[in-house]
Amino acid sequence: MALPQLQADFFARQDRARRSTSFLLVYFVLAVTLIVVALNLVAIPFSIFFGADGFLIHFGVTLITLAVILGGCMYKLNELSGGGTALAEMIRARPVQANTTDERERMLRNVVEEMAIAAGITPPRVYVMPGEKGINAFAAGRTVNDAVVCVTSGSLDRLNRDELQGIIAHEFSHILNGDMSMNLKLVGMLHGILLIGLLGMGIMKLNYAGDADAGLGYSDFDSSGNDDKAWAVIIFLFLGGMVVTIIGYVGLFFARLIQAAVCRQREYLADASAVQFTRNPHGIGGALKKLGSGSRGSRLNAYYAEQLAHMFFASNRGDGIDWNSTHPEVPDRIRAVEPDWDGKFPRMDGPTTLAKFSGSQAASSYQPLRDRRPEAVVKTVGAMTPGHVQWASDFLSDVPQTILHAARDAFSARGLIFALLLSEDSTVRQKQLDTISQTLNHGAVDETLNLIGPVTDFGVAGRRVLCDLAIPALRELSDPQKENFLQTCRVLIEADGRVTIFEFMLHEMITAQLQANPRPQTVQYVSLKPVMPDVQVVLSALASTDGKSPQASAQAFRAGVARLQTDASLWQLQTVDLRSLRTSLERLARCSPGVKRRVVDACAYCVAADGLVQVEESELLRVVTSLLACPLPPLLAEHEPLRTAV
Amino acid sequence: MVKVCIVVLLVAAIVLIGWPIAIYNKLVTLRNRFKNAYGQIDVQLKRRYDLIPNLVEVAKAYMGHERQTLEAVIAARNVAASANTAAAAQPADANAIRAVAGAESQLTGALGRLFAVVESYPNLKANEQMTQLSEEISSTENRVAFARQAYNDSVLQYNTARQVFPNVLLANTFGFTEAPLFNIDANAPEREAVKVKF
Repeated sequence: MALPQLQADFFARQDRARRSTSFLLVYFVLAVTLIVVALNLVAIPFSIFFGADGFLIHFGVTLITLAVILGGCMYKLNELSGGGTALAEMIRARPVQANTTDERERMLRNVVEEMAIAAGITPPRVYVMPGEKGINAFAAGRTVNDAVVCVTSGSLDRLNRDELQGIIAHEFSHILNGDMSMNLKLVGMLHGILLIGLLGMGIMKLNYAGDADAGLGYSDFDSSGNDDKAWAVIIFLFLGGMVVTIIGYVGLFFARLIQAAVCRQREYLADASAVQFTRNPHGIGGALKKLGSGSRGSRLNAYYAEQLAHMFFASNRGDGIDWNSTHPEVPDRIRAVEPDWDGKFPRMDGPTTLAKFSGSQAASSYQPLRDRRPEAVVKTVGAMTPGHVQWASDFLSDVPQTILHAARDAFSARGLIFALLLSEDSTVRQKQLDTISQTLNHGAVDETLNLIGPVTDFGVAGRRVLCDLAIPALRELSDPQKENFLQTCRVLIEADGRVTIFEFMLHEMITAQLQANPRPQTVQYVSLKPVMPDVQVVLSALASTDGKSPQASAQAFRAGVARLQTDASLWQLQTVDLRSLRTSLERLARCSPGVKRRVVDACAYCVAADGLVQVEESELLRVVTSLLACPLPPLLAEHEPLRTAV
Repeated sequence: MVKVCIVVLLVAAIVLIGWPIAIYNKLVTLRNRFKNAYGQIDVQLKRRYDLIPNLVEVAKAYMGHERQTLEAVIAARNVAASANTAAAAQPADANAIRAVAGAESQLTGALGRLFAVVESYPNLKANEQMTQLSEEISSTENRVAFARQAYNDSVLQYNTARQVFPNVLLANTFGFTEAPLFNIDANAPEREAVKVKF
């Protein structure tokens, strides 16, 4: 079959994902109804046996089932309101540290970093599922700013860099497609349905993945759990072993049905995107082939594999030839990306050696995106090209090691951010260094001083990428440390008495990522009308960047407003301070994807109105897209070098 | 009437089953968080342990007579390195953490004595490699302190969650023990008097 193309733009895909959630609800209600009916049928012999109060038994059965299912769903949805991180913690995955010294983990982090820069997002958190020898991966999160990528330890052992990149590209396509938040909701729904079955599957799996360091292995059951769970045994003996088994299968059946409905076609699309982003079919093709050979395939041991089946890269059930299998067949997927595959799987190798980066196929023939026409901006959102990936790879190899090492360690990553915030003016700079020395310690000042030199080579756009690189390490700070760090940044920014657009952008990026408890972003506004004042604020800010004459500002503002196709007389250019800009952006972040598209479009036209894109304008545009959770890849153009020095 | 009883019993049952599960999951999550936070300490300590042999080699070339001081440093470093490996494998084990903290105190003490002795060898002090290494060691000590702070913050979070009212009833039943804070005593008692040579 021909490779499907990523058709619609980012916003349309997000919209579609939101609508899918509604139809999932229908499936869910249907499934619950059928489960209740099935259980009542099973209860009929019991009710006949107990004679008169048969109705009571049916009532009881229905009530208990509904209570358990709905209770389970609500509990899990609440747990997962913490986003991708909550899911990773729930499955007891191990976070991969930013300053990891393990070679393979380092390689994984590098691949993720590269792809994130190409996509224009902050590198997502990276996790590993320890003790899983199969090849599998997933991505989760509520928005692109909250994403988490997780791979099995088997993938790390068996895949080379190209293949790992293929899998990560596949996962990034899920991130950019807006699949993630629907996936999380689905996990919540399925938890309820599977709960009775999970509980009934015995005390072995009742222990929620136990202790990784118990020495028995991650997914082996913890035998000491038996004593603590004695009460569960009593309850289930009461319910009857047979009944529970039936319930388990009924629940499982419906859960897989729902997952299959959601999953299959999407996987072909994600595979296609992986090829599209990297222009290297052999990356993901190779990964799929290794998956197909070898005894473990993509199977997972852990108990959660069932609930999360729809999120994984490949089916977790060996040769699932079932008609309700969650994923397409592996040979079909290989043929979709490598049409001339000979059908043979490679002999299973042991762990691969870490060969040098072999480079993707079409390294020299990419087309850099020179398109800075405003209509192109909306299309570029969430749409990586191999050109972007190549650019990211080049950029990373250009960054001096001092900066890279600093960015990847929590202690010195702070120094990097401080260095980016230091003023050119020496009096102000001294004041800033004193602040750092007082609120933190002298070590932090040393780290900062080390980085001032290397950092000056980078232009504004490059500095933004450096900030993105530092954020994963900063996320590893403890909450009090984060608080301290953010406070110090604020003082540094205010040291010279004014806030530049760059400082505002940096501050917003860091605050958004390091917030201790980010509020879930539910969609509140589905039309433009309620947020018109906020859009006016944003357009005014973009139109009035430094150095523009009043006429130029007015013209830019009008150009933006014109795109919104509303009554022009309702709009008025206003003066904007940064605080109101932030409030407006926070409100706009809660709009539906359709509204966001119109806003981003209007912003692009506003910025392009005078034919030039100033540095400040492009920074502001980036703040806007970042806070609206719309990933904007780096705008590649000769006029915007990221490094001024060679 | 019977139906009302059933509903009440049902709600009670769900609460009695659901609540402990929620508590258990929360404590497991917090425990895993501080265990993962040990990884930061591990990376920095390993950095320190890698630098020390180099330091000793450079010093040996100049102060060959001070064998005892140098050997004390190496010995303390080896003890600390293996204590760290043990603790990294089992960060929830209070004894392991105390062992690393103790070994680190001893190592800091031994290093302190080494640097005190270096003072009386001006050639060594001026040696470029030496200055570079001692700077890196001091920077690493800052990083260790930083990582310890982060670790202790997570441990505190876990210990608090463990002691809070409904959780405290179940914590011990479920096997959640109090986690130790990682504190290095900077003023470790000296094992032997510094020998002064004239």
